[in-house]
Amino acid sequence: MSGDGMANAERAQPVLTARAAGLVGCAECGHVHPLGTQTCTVCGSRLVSRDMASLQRVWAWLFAGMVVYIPANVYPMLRTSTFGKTSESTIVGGVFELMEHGSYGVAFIVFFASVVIPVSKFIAIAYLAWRVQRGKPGTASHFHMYEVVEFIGRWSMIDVFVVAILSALVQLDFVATIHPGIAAVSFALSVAFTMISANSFDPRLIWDAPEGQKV
Amino acid sequence: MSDPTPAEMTVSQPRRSIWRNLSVVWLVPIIALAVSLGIAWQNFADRGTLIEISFSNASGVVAGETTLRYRDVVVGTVEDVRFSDDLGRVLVDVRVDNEVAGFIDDEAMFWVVRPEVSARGISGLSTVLSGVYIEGAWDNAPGAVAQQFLGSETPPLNQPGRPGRRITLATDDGTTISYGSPVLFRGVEVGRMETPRLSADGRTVLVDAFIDAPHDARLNQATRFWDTSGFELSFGASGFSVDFDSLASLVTGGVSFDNVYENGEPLPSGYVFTLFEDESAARRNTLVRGPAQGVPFTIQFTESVEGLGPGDDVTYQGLEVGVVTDLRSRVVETQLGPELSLLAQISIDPQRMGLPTDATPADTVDFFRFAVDSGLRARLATESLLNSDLKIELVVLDSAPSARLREIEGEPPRLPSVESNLSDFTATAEGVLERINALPVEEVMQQAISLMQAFEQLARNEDLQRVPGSAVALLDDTRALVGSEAIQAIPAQIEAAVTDLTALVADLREGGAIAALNSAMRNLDRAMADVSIASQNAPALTENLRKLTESDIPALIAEFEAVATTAKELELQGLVDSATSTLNRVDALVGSQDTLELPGTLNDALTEMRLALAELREGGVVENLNATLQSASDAAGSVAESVEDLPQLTARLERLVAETETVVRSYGDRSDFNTQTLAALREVQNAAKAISELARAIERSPNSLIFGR
Repeated sequence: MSGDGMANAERAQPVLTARAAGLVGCAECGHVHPLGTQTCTVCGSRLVSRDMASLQRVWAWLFAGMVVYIPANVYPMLRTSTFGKTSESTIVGGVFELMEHGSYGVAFIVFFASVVIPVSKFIAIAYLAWRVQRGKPGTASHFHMYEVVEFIGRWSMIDVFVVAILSALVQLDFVATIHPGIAAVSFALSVAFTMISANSFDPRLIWDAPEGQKV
Repeated sequence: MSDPTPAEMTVSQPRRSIWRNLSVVWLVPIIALAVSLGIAWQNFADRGTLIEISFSNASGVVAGETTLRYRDVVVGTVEDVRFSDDLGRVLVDVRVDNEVAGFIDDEAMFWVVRPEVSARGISGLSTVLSGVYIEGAWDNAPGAVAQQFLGSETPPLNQPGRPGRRITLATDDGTTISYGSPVLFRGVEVGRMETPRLSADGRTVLVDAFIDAPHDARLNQATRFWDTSGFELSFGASGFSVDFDSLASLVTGGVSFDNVYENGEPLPSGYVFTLFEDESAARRNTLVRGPAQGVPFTIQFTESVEGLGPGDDVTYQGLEVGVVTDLRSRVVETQLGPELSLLAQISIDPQRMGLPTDATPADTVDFFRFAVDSGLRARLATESLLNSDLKIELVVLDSAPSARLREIEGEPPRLPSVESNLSDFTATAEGVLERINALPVEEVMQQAISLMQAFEQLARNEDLQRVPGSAVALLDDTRALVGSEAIQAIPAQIEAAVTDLTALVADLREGGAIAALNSAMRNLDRAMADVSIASQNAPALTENLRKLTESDIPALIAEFEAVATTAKELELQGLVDSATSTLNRVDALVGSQDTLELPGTLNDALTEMRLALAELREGGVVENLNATLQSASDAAGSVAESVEDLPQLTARLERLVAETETVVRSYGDRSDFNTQTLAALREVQNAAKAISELARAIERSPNSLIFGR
């Protein structure tokens, strides 16, 4: 999304939101009720037009995810023992090692899944939450951004899967053994926290303009 | 119908208080942060202690990979490999686990374990695949933690914390010892040798060795080390044997040790063991040669000390009690001007002299002062018969001129010495052998042979052979006629004569001529002058004997014959008288003092010879036995040459006996005369056989003449 796009979006005609139309949608089943309805008449879940507390949860989970992302990068992801020789590799170290061996493709995938995606997610979630906090009305592209973040979140687990599978398979005693490091746990937690963070976000907030602006 | 009004919207003011509004979810990042920080702190705290080890090269050491091991357990990792400021050494930084860091004090040692293939085996094989690692060794008592260490190139023999004792050996030749050579005790490996190094003055090779506990408890001053390197070939009476201790010691060399006597004194610090060439050399050296143990004395000699050198023994009554440490000449001022004398420095082991173990040197000197007063003297003596090596002998002489232990300031006390009788012995022994050499043995033999020849001639004499025939005829003629007692008495007379002859022969035998010759031949002797005289008498005697027999016997026979031929005509009494007188003369001849004395004289001479030999043997020590033996050999040669004649002599004797027997047999078969004569002749035959055996024995081993059997 380009700056121009964002600028255009802000200048564009504001969309009519359900809230502006005096309605509230059920987050579970999608049934629309008039504002003020407490519970969904269809599925019985609680109806909230805008969940303002969600933003706190987003920030909390995002922060937790970022905290555990640090050890995930500092500590070794894999401990490989080959012929009695033990080597430990961190995520970034592993990427460079792969590049030294000429496996640029694999290096790129690892780098993309382990570094680019998590970091982009942090940035995207923080950006969206920041916008909502500042009361800036969002556009369709912001909503797309949120959808992409939510979708791609699970794929960040590729690394963790790889480590889990390698640790389970490569137990060849003296010849080669692979053990997961602390970073593997940290990374898994980081991805999980980020996903919870993304899930906590109420996308409807994107559309809202601050009360003052609306009047 | 009223319009339904929308329900009242409940609008609540947003809660502004941030604390009230705070979600529980914030606990999650807080916990995550706490856990992360906790892990980080724990990692930092567990990081371990950094130590620095310097090596001359860091072959195979890789930062981050190479590990530090203690008893083959990883206790640290190399963090950095760098150079010292002057590029002289490689510094390896190792992060050591805190668990063990407290034990790594000044004594800790580090070395790099690499794969090694040697005669003793293959070690460090695991490092072929995994790369080298640094092995550390330290004791199990915590000490002040040190930061910088000097790594060794090879595993140290005395690793800290490994019980045992480090010792030093001194040897002349370091070629047979190499790093790691085993130290064996009764064939069991109990220690290892380090690389030999030269002593500061370059004269000896010093080797450090490490003896593992509990075997180090066996080490004391009685311990002797010897080299078991390589193999030993020996070829002796027991056959051919190859001897080597172990394959490893064959290739890398090795030493063995054992205690040569019981209850050795404990080792002082800095004690250096001597490495002997072989076990026998080590065992021979039971004397403590450490300067701390011996008490020094000096001895001044006026005679030549050729053959004496440092290291030679000092004995007391045959027991080794000390060693010659130094030998030097020295100018002594006398009234007649400066005189050169020889000063031997010796070191006496007081314990070997029987003094208590805690005796001080002063006690030892006291003891010697007393001993010298009671006649203790030092003198030179030969170490063995077969070489000219000398030793110093401490002897107690009752007749020694009085002397005292001279105690000179700044010098060891001086023991009085007496002249040795080495040179006398040599001269005497040589003189004796020369005189033996000069003995007219051959002459004696020749005389004996000619005597025998004379006997033989006598036996072959036709007149004599005719005697039986005539005598028988005479007797036959007279038997019928003669019945008188005088005639009867003739056989008795003859019998007496024969008895005399038998006695003579028995004397010859019993008188020990043969036995004496035998023993005399075994034991040569010094009183050869007597023998010489006796021998010179013997020829004269035998000459007389021969003359006597040659002149008298035929005359006798002739007379006998005359008697026989005239018997018929003669008066019976006259015949009897004549026969009796003839027989008396035979008797007198046989019983002649000269004849009887011959064996006695020979016997005496031989006995003296034997005595002289015994004395010579007891005299014992001879300096130049080699030269002497040469003389002896010459003498033996002469004797052997002479002896070669003996068989001839014997053969003649036998022939003579055989002829005599045939002659005598013709006298008649059953007469007493015949029996007696035959017995006498058998005696002679036996004697001849004995001479023959002796001759053969001497012929086989002429040397037995010299050495005795």
